[in-house]
Amino acid sequence: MSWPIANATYEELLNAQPALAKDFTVFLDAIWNEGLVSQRLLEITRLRIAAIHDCEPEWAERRINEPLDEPALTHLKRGDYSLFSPQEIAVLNIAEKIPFQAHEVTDEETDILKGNLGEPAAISLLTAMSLFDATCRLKGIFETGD
Amino acid sequence: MSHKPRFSSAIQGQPASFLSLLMHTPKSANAFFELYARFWQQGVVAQEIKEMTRMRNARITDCGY
Repeated sequence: MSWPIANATYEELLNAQPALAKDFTVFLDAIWNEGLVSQRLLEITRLRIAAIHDCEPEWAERRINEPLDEPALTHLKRGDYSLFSPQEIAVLNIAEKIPFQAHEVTDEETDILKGNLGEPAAISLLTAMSLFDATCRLKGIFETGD
Repeated sequence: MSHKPRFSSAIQGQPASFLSLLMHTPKSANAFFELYARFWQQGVVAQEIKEMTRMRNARITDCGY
């Protein structure tokens, strides 16, 4: 697909509507900095959702100061959760369904999430998953490669 | 798909709803509301088109809300 701005980056396309882009950035920053969910949990869900979407631009990004090591990344990309903690597995079990099976998230799975993290953190994480999913979809449409 | 709220309302006396649940996370909730309001109220795409796509997306994703 071609765009009016030749060879545009993802950010340049978003900035075609600068006020909206700014609000989107503020929302994204709030998700990452709300302080209710660890950066690691946010990052593993972001990367797993990117892997499910086969979104290479999102997969290539590393958003946290202590990035996952290569074995964890390799396992995460193929949906093998054997290197992750029980809490992380509970989170990933839901993240797995967000892109194409959101209706199949069960009450039991959300109860486990609430039990592990508490309600505010669970809601923060579920909101983040939706945003990560939307970002992959948008990058897939834009096809800017970044 | 569950048809009962899975989380409690963050606003005392208010029933569990999409908005009252989001208020458990006030920072991101307020940022989301700002973004959503700007998306609907401003921009170059007619509101009718936005509404049409919103409803079609809701139908496809089976989102009753």
